Amino acid sequence: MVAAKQYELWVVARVALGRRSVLVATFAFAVVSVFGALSSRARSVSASESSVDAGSTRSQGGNNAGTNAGNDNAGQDGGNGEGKDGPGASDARAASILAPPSPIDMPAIELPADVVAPAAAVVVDVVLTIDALGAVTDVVVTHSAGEAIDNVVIAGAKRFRFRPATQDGVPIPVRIPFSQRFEPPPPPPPSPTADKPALDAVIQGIVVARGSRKPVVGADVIARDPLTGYQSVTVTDARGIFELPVRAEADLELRISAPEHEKFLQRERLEKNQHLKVKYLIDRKSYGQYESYVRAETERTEVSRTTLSGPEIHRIPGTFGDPFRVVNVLPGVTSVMGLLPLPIVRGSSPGNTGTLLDGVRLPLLFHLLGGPSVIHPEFIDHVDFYPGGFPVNYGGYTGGIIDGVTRAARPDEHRIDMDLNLTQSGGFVRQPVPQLGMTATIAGRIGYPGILLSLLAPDVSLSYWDYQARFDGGRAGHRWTVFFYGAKDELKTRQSSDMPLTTVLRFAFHRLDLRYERGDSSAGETYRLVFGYDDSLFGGSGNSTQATGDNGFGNGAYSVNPILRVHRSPTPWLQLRFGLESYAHSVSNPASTSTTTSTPLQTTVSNLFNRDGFYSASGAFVEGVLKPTERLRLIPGLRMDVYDERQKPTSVTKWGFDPRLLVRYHLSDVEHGSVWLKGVVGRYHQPPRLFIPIPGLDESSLNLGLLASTQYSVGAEAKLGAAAEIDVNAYYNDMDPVLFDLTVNPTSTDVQQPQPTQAPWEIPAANGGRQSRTLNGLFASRAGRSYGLELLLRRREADRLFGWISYTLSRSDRRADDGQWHPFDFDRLHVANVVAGLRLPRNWEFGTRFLFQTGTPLTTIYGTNVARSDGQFRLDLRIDKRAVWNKWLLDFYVDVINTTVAAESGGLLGGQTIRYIVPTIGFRAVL
Amino acid sequence: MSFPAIVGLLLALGDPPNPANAANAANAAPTSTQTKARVTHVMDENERVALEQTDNVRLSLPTQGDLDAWASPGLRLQLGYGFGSVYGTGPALSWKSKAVMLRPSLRLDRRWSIGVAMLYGGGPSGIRWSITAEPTLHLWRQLSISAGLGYGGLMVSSPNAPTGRLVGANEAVSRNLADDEKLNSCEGAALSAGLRAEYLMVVGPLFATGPYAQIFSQWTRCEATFGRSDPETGTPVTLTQWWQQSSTNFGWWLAWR
Repeated sequence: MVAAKQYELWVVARVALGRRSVLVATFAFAVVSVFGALSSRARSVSASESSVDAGSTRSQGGNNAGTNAGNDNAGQDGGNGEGKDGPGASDARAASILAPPSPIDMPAIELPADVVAPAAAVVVDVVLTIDALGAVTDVVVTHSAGEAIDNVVIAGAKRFRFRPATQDGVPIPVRIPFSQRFEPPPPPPPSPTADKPALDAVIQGIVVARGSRKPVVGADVIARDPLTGYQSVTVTDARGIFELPVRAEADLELRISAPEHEKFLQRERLEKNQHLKVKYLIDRKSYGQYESYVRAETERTEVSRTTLSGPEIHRIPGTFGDPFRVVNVLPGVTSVMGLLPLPIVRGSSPGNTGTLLDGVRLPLLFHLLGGPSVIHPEFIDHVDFYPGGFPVNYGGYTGGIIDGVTRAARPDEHRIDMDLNLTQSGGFVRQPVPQLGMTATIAGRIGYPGILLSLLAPDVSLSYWDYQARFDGGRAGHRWTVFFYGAKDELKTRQSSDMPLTTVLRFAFHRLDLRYERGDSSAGETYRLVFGYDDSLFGGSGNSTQATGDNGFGNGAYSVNPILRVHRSPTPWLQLRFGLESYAHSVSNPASTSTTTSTPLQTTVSNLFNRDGFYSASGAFVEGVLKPTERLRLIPGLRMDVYDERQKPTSVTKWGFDPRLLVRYHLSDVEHGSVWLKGVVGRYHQPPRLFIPIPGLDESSLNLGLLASTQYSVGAEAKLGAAAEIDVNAYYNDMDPVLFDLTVNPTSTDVQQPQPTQAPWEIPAANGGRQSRTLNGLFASRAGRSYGLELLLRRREADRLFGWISYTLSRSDRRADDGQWHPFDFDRLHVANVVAGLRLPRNWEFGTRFLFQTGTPLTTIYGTNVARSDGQFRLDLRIDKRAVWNKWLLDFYVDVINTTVAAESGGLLGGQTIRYIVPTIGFRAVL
Repeated sequence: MSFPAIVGLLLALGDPPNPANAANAANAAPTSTQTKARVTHVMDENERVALEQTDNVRLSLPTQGDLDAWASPGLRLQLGYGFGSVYGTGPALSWKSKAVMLRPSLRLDRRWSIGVAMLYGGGPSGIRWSITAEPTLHLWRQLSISAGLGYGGLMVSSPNAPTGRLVGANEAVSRNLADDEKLNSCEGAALSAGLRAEYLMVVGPLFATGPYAQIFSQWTRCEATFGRSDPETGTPVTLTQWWQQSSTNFGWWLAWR
């Protein structure tokens, strides 16, 4: 079991160098990678323990006045990592203890005589690689101050010696960022003839960051008497506290300076023998809500996973700050339509991709199909995205996996977060409850798009809400979580203004997720029990559009979902993972007693939805991580699932047997870019699923059989410096059969002259009427294939900039009845995204996303899907401005989707084009 | 006070000035607790805790004048709201409308800025927009002029402007309209150019506000579609016509730095 870890510790060392210069060296320790994680020594760490350990290490640090003051969110981000192997894995990371490296010998880095001292302060940022013996083996400059000074820092840093970082007491190699600041020589001392004035008063102060109230460590505090020119100088300690003797009855000019903080100026006048107790609030240059230096990463045991976290999931324009929407910007993904983020992953239908929360399927992903996701974004620690080739702990899908991963709250974590924009309001409160030994987190949102909609359509009402309540407790090795969450969407209409609004569409679900985790990353178990209740309605009682049952469909579906995960590391070269899980639900959906005449559409819809009965999907898997050589990893796995429908009078049982093999080969070491080659081949099965998640409708029409695919993928990934990486994958998916495929285009026969009078989205029904081409097409069984190349060039947020360039070259086909291969209706040959987020001074943040994608197939009289719609450009922008108050922060943001109102075509639109622009203005307060 | 004004003040001011701060700025005697301890006194743990909880809080005095701050390099963001008229020539429509503007810019030095002005205005059953890149010359105090060139478009329709010879399903292929024909709807984009003068009144180091006046010209390749596709290409049947319009706008900026 491998997991991710991150730890940050700031150490400020000051070395006075006489008249030449003053050096202020700032260390920001962040464990960024742990090597040899497959060994039993590799452990993980939780955010909570990061915080606790930080304190203990600081106390041992001797001369290191360390704290995480340099990073307001160090603790918050501390648990964010990339290790993930299924439900509860993030919390499993909580089991081990990570200690950062601590300095043993840090010779002062002095500018030699042949290097000109800077006229103003300069900073050199580097990344140090510290091996398991504590030696600095590599120094990479990430922020230069000129070649001469850079070389001085590189040479100086290589002389540092550390106590190595440890994980559960075992030394491990790490990389840490390190900043070296050179300040200009101080002004000449007062004339020797001048007497030192009597220092007969004292300023006892504390320096804290305005807004976050975190102590500012290592800040220079200088009190200057303008009349005599005499200066008193001191430095704040680990709690931001200082004590400065000054001259009484003088108009003192007090200045405070600290790295990453704005200048501070105040005037003080003290009386004789006065002890002035004062708190100085100093502005940070930037208040990043999701600030982190370098994200931790352990050795990976999968082939095509992309993990997004922090600003990458909250600050991407065009996503409403929603973590699940960001996946649409990654390689291998397009959407059915710009504003409808149903993902087409590697050419598969949206229903083939799992949208999960901590490994458990979300019955409803987006409010109102295309709005924000049903989970408050602050709950999502990171999102794991597998476009294919996912390991055996995920079952029941033949496309990709989108897994939003939460994390356990730290025992000391407080947070209040309120947001308000044009269409919704939300809140998030996290508070420790020490009496109960737990931390409680409550969140919820309410949407009111109907208020805007009512201006255009007064006979329509649209609303939604969601809630989450999570309680985390326990201790290392024994952790428990109780997590409630749920949501409801509702659409009401009325036929005339004098009639009351009636519900015509309602989606609602509730979940109770109980978890207990025991052990650590080398050996442990996770026990989960998830209870659920789903309630959906399509067409209300008495409404002519009612499809099935007087109370709609999927109504009253109770479910239970037990999950067991076990992992063991019996030898240093082997890890084993086992899992058992079952999802069982009973549906109460009585047959319709309505007297309304059934239409072909209603008949088709009613065929989709589960009738009264008992449904289950149960699976078991085993996976091994073998390390036969130092560079080779073999990850064979086997998964078996059984799907069962118990309805009256029929019952259906289907089996899925899915072997998978992943291989990774470490081609070159860190100093040469840490290149990994990788490949996967695997078999995947799933029951028929609709292309959108609907509560109460998890699977249906099992009598048609299971969908199946065989996926092949090879690729390479490499580090390109401290924060950049590249990932290239080629893939081939053999999909046979494909069921419940999303189909919208007519066939060439349909468009032969003379043109039929029916719309392209309709086809003739057996009874002479019309029925939906898309819904009817769901029941057709055919073969499919997709292949392509994916490229991701990514820069994580190491300082102020993050972003990525993604490119997908792909082709997805379906075999028609005539045996010919035709492009899939949503196939796009080229898809390119450029995403960038930049933090600027004075708390500005700027984000942009640029999309280019070629068109989707169109049918002409010459053939089915032989032409293409126009390509599309789209530019989204987001600007955040953060106002800093003494105890809280206020964000104001403008997010504009499709800034240039560019035309969109293809996908659900076929050859038609639409233009749109979606501006959002909002506020967010963080306490 | 309007909503945008409240927004501006909220973001510009942060916490109100601390009275103790103001007193210190005037070199008044400190109001903090006085003790009779000796200067060499070293704080114990209780004093440290008390210090962490003290209410005697100071913010920084300004380290830079407001006008100097606005003249210094850095990012600016302006939100504008105004009124204007659009004058169409030839077959193009004319109308009066309101418009909002969003303008991120970068102050390069005391004389020059570069920015992008994004204008979104109303139109007959639709909107007009333009995205122009523009250098700005700061002439005198806070008075400046900007000239922009970029991309603009329309998405409007008017039932009072009958379409030329379009006859239902008989219009089976795409074509360009003659000058004597008139589209009753326009959806498309092309070139946009503008000139603007503005005066920003500095309210504080982070917030300024003031009026602007601008003139715009826009050339649009209008397309009208009717929900039908060309069976030979699969693409929509489209009628196309070029429109040329000019506009004047007067509005008010809210600006942050």
